[in-house]
Amino acid sequence: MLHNFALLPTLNKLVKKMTSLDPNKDILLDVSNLNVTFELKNASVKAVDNVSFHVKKGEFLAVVGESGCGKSVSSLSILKLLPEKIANIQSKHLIFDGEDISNWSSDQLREIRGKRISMIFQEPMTSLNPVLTIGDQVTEPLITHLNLSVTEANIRAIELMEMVGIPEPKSRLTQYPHQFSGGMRQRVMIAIGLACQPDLIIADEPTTALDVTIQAQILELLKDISNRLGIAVIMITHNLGVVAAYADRVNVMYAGRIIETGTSNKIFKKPTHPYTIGLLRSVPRLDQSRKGKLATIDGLPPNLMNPPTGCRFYERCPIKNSDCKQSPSLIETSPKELASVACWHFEKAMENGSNMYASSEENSKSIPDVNAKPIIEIKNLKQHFNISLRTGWLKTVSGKVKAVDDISFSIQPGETVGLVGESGCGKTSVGRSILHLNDPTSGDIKFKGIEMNNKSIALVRRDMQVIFQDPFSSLNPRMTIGEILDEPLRVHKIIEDKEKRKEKIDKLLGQVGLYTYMSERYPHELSGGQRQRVGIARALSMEPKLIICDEPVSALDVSVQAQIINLLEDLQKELGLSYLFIAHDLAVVRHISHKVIVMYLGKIMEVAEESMLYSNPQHPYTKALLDAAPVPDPEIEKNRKRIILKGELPSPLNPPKGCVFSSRCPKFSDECSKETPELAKFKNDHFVSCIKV
Amino acid sequence: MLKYALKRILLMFPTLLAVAIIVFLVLRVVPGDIVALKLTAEGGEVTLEQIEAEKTRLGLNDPMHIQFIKYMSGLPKGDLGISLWTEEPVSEEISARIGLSFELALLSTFLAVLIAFPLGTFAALYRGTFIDYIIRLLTIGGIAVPSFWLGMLLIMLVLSFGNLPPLGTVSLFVDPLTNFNQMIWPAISVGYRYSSVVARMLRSSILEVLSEDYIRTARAKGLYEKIVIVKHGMRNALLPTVTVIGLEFAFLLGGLVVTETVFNLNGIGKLFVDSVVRNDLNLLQGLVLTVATSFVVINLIVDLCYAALDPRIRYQS
Repeated sequence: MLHNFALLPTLNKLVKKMTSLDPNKDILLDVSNLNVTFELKNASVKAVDNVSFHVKKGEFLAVVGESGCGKSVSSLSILKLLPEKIANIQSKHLIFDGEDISNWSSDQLREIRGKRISMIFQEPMTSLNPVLTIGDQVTEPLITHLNLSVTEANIRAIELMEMVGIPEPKSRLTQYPHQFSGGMRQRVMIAIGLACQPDLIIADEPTTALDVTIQAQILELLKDISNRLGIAVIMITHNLGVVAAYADRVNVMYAGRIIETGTSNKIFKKPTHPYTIGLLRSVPRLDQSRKGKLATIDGLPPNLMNPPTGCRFYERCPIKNSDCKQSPSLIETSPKELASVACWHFEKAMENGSNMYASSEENSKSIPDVNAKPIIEIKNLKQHFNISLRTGWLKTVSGKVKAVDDISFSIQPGETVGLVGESGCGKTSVGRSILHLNDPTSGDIKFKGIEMNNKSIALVRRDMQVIFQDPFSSLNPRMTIGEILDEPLRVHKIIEDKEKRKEKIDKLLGQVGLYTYMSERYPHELSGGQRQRVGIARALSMEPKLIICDEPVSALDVSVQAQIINLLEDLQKELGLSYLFIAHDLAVVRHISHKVIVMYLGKIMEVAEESMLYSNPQHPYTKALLDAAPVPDPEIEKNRKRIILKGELPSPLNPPKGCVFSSRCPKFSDECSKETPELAKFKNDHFVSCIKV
Repeated sequence: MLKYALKRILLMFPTLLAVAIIVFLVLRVVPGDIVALKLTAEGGEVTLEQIEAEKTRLGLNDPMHIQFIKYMSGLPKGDLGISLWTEEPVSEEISARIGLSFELALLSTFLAVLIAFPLGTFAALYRGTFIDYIIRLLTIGGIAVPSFWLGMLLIMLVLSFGNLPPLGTVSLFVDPLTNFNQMIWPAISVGYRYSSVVARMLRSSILEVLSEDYIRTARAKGLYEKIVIVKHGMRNALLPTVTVIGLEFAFLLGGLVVTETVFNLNGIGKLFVDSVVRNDLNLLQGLVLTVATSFVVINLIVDLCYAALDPRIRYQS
């Protein structure tokens, strides 16, 4: 009983026509008053509070919100995929295709799981079973739900894998997950999700772990297939750009509740809830030049073990008043745009827009001192790693990974240089070589005019500090914040007197926006953003001239990310710091940097001033990167024609001949694999490494 | 897979060679003189000359490197020298007893796995319930109770039923029933502890595996819970459990000194003690090598099981 995919769209239209008379018939899933409580040993956490929403047949619904807002939990509870022992799921009704499934046992639900509602999870690396073949995992739902024989299921699996764009599906069926890249694994997950042609796919942050060019591939695939087959999608994400690009309708969640809902045009163009307005204003825009500092929503989401009685956004809201002590429910604001909002003062919020969040319109970027001697000068830096892989008995293949291959740049005092590229492009290795955490293979690094080598690094180490990506693992869990900050001051004998050190620590905490009493706290008592502030304070304690920021905000939520970016900017202006800002988020880099370097497979593809690079990118890779990243504006997204890069990053052991980008370049011609392009001047300070420019 | 197995087998030899050399050297440093002990044990006065003469006869007066060459050149032929006490070839002394120890180890492992798998699985699936508590109580008891004490209780139990197995051992191939009656009691007393260790390991690894993302994926696919647990869960949970089984098995081959004494079994463990008490260097050397070899072989088997269970290991090599 193989399905004919070609017939489906027409069938689907037919069904739509037939059912268009009764609006309720269009509704595939209707969730009413869903409550999810996690009963922990000594507390209960109300993760989802009275949430109602619906999904229409064939609709693409996005659920956005920051971590802990209940977006994943509410979706997982539809199929009761939460740990049974601690999750208490209650709802008035949960109607799926005309049937109330809210009281179904897991055995009854099992029959629709994977058959009529399927899921795609966030982590492609851990969501597939490592010890079973891909074929086995793709055919399982077919065999279970459609009673196909193994041979039939295999034929169908090959079709499915072809459909999701996995090359050579037949031979790949017998392979295991570890032989697939992250992007390919996510394609496999989509194939599994599509196997039984479900009515609804729930995708829980499907591309969060992937690079931006791969994200674009996966999302286009998901959108395309769900459109063609008339499958409804609930996509859970924190990425507002992704929402704008793909969603028909959006639910915005905050602290366990839906606080605003509407078509994606409505949400992005005329947001009504103060939280939505703040959220949209706190993401840097890739497609617009900077309009001053980012707006920030002060504070943190409430603790759901003990939530506030009234509006959950009360503490952080700029237009709160005494009315807000009472819980607002969703009020319809614009039926045409399917919009509702849960706010007592939505009219006032709409009127004020983002002005209610303090953000100065002046361009607050620091002005780098261009005439001074550069703080750091890097010339022909190379960082090669020798790698040997044993491929057989007594047979080894040794190779050289050119993590950083002949790059040069400099940073002026007060300047921020952004270093962007996808994972594996060598951006982190650049930072590590500069810090001499790895001995560079060759090249000169001059810091304040001093030639750096293993001896002189000790002299300047204090002047060069680093902020790491993961604020959770880079602080010692057994030391208080005070001890963490005290240690470098004591070890480097910067301040000998204990009392004076204490004063200094208090000053540092103030500088990064923490309270002095926090020096008694342990890292686990702080939030992610607060921990990252501690990381910044630790770097500042050495009074450095240069800070290497290695993905400092990528582990943080949008509103917290804005706080940290603003803090870094303020400190730069105040202390005249220089930053090397390593990140994969192009919009953040655009916002914070003066100059931007784009890297690919260890080489610089393009360097320019921020404004030049983003408004007039020259290198095909830069163009593709900018093209792949969605912007939070549905109108722009609708009219955008994406050039989606084919394929994935080639193995760094065996990079393409000639131009390293040639294997994925849309402008590829034969010369590209013969000639290795040099970084050449395009205009003033704009350098491009491409023979076609 | 075959390549992987072959490579692992070839890698065994350097390990064993190193063990052989280390054992030889360490034992030469150990104080004590077997000849004096042996001669005086028979009573009567012995002169220094007699001791020296005996030593020369046994080759103990040869220079160290000659002894070493003799010992090493014997190894490939399976010649471990002669026991200094009985003057029988060491290999014969060991092979006379290894069968018994091997049978006991095998039987206990079989029992242990038979008990541990259902216990560990149920404890994990019913975590935090009455079933789990009972199983955990049983298994913690198994670890706390010494095997030989349990052995003595068993003997008393068997005696009270009047079912007295004949002392000594009858070969499995001569009279399997009597042999089983003799072996099952020590196997139970050792197997209880063994099964407790394995069950606890299995419980914790199943719990760990069941919280993995791919289990959630399997459930989201709508698979039957039985398939989720057996096919997706068990295979992954088996990996650490196989290691524990292997290590315990190797330990049983040479480490059951007290249990063997309690049940009056003439196995490797007892031989070990005798050889130490008598300062029988050659025999001790042979025993250590035998046990080391069995450890290495069992490790190899564990590694091969690993490779069979986990494709990531198979393809890495």
